[in-house]
Amino acid sequence: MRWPELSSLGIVADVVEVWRRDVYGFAVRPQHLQRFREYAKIYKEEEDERTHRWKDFLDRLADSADLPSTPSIHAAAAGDAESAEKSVKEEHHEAENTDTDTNLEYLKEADGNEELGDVNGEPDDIKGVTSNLEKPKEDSSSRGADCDEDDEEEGEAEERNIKIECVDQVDDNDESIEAKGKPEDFDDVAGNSEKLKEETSADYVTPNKASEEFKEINEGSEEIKVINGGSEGFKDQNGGSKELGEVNNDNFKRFEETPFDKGLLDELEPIKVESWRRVRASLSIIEKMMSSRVVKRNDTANAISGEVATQLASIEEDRAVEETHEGNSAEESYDAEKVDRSQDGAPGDSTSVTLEGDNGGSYFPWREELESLVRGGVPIALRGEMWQAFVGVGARKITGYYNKLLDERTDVLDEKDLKDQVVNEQKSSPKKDPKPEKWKGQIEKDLPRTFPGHPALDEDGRNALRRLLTAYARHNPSVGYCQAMNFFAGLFLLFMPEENAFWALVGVIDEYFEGYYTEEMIESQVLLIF
Amino acid sequence: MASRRRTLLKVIILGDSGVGKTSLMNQYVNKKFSNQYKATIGADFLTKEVQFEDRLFTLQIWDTAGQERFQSLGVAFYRGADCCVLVYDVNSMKSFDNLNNWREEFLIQASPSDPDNFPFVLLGNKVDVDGGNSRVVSEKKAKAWCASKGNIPYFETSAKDGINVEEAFQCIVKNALKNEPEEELYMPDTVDVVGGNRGQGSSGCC
Repeated sequence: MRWPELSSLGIVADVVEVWRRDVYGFAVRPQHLQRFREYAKIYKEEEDERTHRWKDFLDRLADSADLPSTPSIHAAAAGDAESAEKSVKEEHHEAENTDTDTNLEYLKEADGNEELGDVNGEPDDIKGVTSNLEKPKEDSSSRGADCDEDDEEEGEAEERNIKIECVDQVDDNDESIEAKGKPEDFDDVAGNSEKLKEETSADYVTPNKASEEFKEINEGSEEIKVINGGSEGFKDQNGGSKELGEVNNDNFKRFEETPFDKGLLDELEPIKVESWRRVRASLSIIEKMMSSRVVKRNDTANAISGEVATQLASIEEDRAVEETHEGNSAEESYDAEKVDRSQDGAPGDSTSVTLEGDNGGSYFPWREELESLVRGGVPIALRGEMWQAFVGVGARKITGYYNKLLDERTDVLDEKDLKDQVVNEQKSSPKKDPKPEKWKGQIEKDLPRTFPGHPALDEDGRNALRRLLTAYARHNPSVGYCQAMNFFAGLFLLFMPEENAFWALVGVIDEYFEGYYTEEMIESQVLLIF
Repeated sequence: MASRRRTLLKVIILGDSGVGKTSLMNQYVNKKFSNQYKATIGADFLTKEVQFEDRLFTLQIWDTAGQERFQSLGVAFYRGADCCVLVYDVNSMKSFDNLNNWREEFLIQASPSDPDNFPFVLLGNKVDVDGGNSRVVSEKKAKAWCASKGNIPYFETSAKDGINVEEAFQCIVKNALKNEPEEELYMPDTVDVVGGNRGQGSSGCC
């Protein structure tokens, strides 16, 4: 099971409805609707600006790291080609959501640049494949520009409509269809596929498929001409373009893996099908930097035994130690916790949210820039992944741990393990209920009270939230479930797959808010005093 | 002259998670009910201007988180309260049984000067649910508890239907004012000063 896709809930389709919800999918109160409308445009502009800044940053980061999963376009390109290429890439970005028309617009620009083609197999391929559609595009270029602008502002649903309109226009143009039939174009496609086969063996099937698809369209151009303007004609064409778009995307994904410049409404569907997904490659440097301490911890845990439950055990031990020190005095336990932390030895093992990593300066020369970028805000489409990178989800994850926590059978095991723990707890704080899972009722109470009315929180959404909170409570029994964690968990679920969300929650509650949500809420009390 | 004075009354709403503390507060202040409330984290407050016996008051209603562990934060919120509203759900015996705990914890943490006479008001909420068929705490039982704690005023309310909410808060204001003369002895200048001081006090603690 997974968090539902927001698009399937009809939000994206219904424009009126969209205006009643913000980019997170939260309802905008009627009295704020007017202001929301006024600011939506400004927000979009700012978001675009942020997106570009981040994209630029991540591109450079990826370049410097020379990540294997990121094609080294930039490294190979030089001079004029580089800038042209960059624009192609950028355009791709914007066009990503299978918006072929925008792609074409772009590629048209790049078309004249021979060097680009030579240097880069992928854009070249795209160029080749799409050159068929380019010509019609020329005739309706102003329309294309409109499309571009429109889908900046409008959501996916709108985008789709516009796309169809554009294609329609293309279809209306007899000349263009004729142009499409030119055999050179086929050759071009085939040649490129061939080339791609050589260059990127992993991808070769898709372009071939696309070119075949294209062939079909082109061969059927007469048919299209006959039923010109008819819905079926352009549906067919549209399908072909879509296919093409997918190819483009595939290629593209190799740069960016997932789209992150999305329309205002696209952002309503950040949820992917997978229950687990890795953070995009270009963020891995940040993730590495941020999770160095996590890696340490996990290494130790894994060294003790291969068992998945080791982290659980280690956390429980930590807590047990803390709690025996704790007594009833808040001050004392606060100190104990401090000592505990310093014993960990890692200077980076602090609850500080800043980027003061232990080896930040030398190891991560981008730190200052990243810091200022973070202060300027993370684009919504990147946010989920940035959170994961920062909290070190990849490094934290122990395969199978999440499911094991949720598995009823391991429940019994865990309870046995818990016995010692419970005894310890009773010694130090007799107030504690030895009965495990007493937080179940509270979770049930809070499920409908977490982002009530949010379309993602239908039955599936609540089930995911329940699993997440249950798993965390079992993972860290000294905290169990505390109100407010429901909002953390719910927010994570809006931005990432379920298991990612679990590890993000673990990172945030275990470390950043260590001591805040325990039964005694020591840290929260400290916070209130100052 | 007396009608020109303004003063602040601080009221705390306590009770188990999900008994309807937020709903009651919103019904009273905004005359609205929603079945889409979020769980309250920490505490929240709303203010409302109320007129009582020709005087204008600012009623500051503090809505608290119901989960047990949040009680440990109570001292920060309870301080300077003029009245404590205890809420339970007439359909939940547990929420009624916990009233003792809430009351005692409040008295410990707020440490009012005269704990025995500190004004409490008890509200049995959600009387509308299932036409009263799912009710498990009888009015008699609730009243008996109130009597045993020094005649705490009791109201059966429905935040959803707005039943008795206005009446309950009228009573809350009245009871909150019981403390007033005492405080005027501590700060005999004017009531305005008292209001000002308290305002600062409450903003300083959070």
